[in-house]
Amino acid sequence: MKASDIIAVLPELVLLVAALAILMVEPFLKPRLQKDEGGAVCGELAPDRTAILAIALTGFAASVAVALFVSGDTRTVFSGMLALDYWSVFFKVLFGITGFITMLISSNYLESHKRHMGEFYALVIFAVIGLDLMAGARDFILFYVAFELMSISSYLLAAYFRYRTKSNESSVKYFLTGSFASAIMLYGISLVYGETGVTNYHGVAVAIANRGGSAAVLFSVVLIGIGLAFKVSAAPFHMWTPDVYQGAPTPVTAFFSTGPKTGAFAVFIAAFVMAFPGAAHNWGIFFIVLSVVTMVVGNLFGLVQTNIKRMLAYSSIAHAGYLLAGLGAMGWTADTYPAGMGVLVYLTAYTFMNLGAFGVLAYLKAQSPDKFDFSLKHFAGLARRSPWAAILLSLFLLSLTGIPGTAGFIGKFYVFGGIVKADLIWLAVLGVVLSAVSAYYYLRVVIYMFFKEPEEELTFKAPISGGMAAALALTAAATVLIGIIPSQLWDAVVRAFGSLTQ
Amino acid sequence: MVSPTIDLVIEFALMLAIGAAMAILFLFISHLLAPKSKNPNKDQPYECGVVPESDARAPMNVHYYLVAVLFVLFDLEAVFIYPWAISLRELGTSALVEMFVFIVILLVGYFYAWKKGVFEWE
Repeated sequence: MKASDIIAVLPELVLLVAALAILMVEPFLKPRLQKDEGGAVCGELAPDRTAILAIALTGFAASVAVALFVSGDTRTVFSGMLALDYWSVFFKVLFGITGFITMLISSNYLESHKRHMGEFYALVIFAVIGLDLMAGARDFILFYVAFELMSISSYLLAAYFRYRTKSNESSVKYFLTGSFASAIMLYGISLVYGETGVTNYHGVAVAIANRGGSAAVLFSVVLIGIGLAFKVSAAPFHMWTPDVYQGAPTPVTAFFSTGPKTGAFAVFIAAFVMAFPGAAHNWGIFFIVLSVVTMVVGNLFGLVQTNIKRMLAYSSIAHAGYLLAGLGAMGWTADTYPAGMGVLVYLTAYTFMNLGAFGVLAYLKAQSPDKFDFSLKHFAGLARRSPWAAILLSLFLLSLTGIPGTAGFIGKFYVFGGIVKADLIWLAVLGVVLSAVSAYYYLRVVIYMFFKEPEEELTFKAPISGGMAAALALTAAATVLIGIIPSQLWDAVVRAFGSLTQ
Repeated sequence: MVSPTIDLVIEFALMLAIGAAMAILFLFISHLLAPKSKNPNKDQPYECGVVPESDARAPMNVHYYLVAVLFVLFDLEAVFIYPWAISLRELGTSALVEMFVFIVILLVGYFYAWKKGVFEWE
């Protein structure tokens, strides 16, 4: 190890310091004293945790800044285990922003549920460190360790409301399916190692090129693909998604539906393009089959959901299907560029619009009584109750549908463009038709919010907090900006993808 | 496009089949060859231990689990330190620094558990 190698992991080190600082500061926070009208102390309230939120936000902002600062040279460090290139910087920035917005959404939500603790922030930061390393990994072993760091933090986050049975149930389901997927993937990695004798992406590609393909390599490609397909909730490995998304605390669901999915796609592209270029056509077919099933299942099951959180879970399955179609197109042709860059654009757009949609849900839950359970009928007449929430949720839902002028349209445009360029016109047509189907369940919510009379009046508590407002403003601005002027994002994507495949 | 020839597929299928057969075979052989002595003491959960006097599914104080987790943490630390101590001379100063960083991270966790009252017995 050279001292200069440290530069490549500086963004993660910044995050690690922030997480450790949170764990050190948290026990020293003094409980706030509750006072009655006369000013006499009559009880204790949970300590004020603004300081911890500030540390977490500073950590994420500093990590993004450091990642941008160290970008520039393209090389691998730690004996070829980790890459320092635009590809990893692109994803580190995206994950940093995901974490930042998750923190902003969470603080208000956790405060209103009286479960505002430092652990939450530390766990999200640890998960983001895992995601960063997943994107930067150029070796199956490092990738697996990073993957587990991310996964284990996620299991804990799902059970964060540990007094709630639903939260526990969601965590156990996530843990069991997730560890099953890890085991399958690990078997795939061990087969790769058995066939080639190396674990480095590039080394695997060289060894396969020298010795020719074998059945074991194809088998391991499928096993690793299945392991990651669990994390992106591709059908038929999607069964856990609706239950976990519904049971986990809403800000955690916002994180689950963006961070780990984006991370898994980063690995899908990096590992499969770099380690198995010879078998590209084979994994292309694998992803095409997966994407067709996923798109159909996600959209058709989405139609019949009456709970908005569950509906968004199926919507995230459908979006994984569009992204997998892009991956399929990458493998199908020798030219990975058009579809691959489309996938990166889509991932960025998806991150912002999905964080925004779940952010609005978290806001509604934070200020509403316990009766509010995200079912469709509770959204009736929302436009009159809180017009801003209704307008923002409509924006994010329109973007998820793929209406022009929003980020969702740009993402779909580039992914389906890449698929058409790969001569898979039938797949692009299927994707567009199913997007049209998805408009039904997205727009139904908009109609409920604006044109339906509420069946029962729900009373609402506190107004929106500063952090939540900032998060929603950020995501809404990004959704609209990417939709109108995508050129900046496109430049970043071109550079990121170029540094991976050169 | 990798299109493995039929003998490569057969080779791989053979590998899977032989692997599975070996696992089953060894279990079967040890079942056949192992000496068996039937004895009521043998059926107890802890042979040579204290005689169990109640159901195993009794509610336990959650503190046990926390202390157990901390024990595993420092157990693993020791596992890492042994090979590190042996090869420290070749690895040089950077390995020394790395180990201290590792221990500091573990100590933060220990400290957190301590301040959160894991070691306070009631």
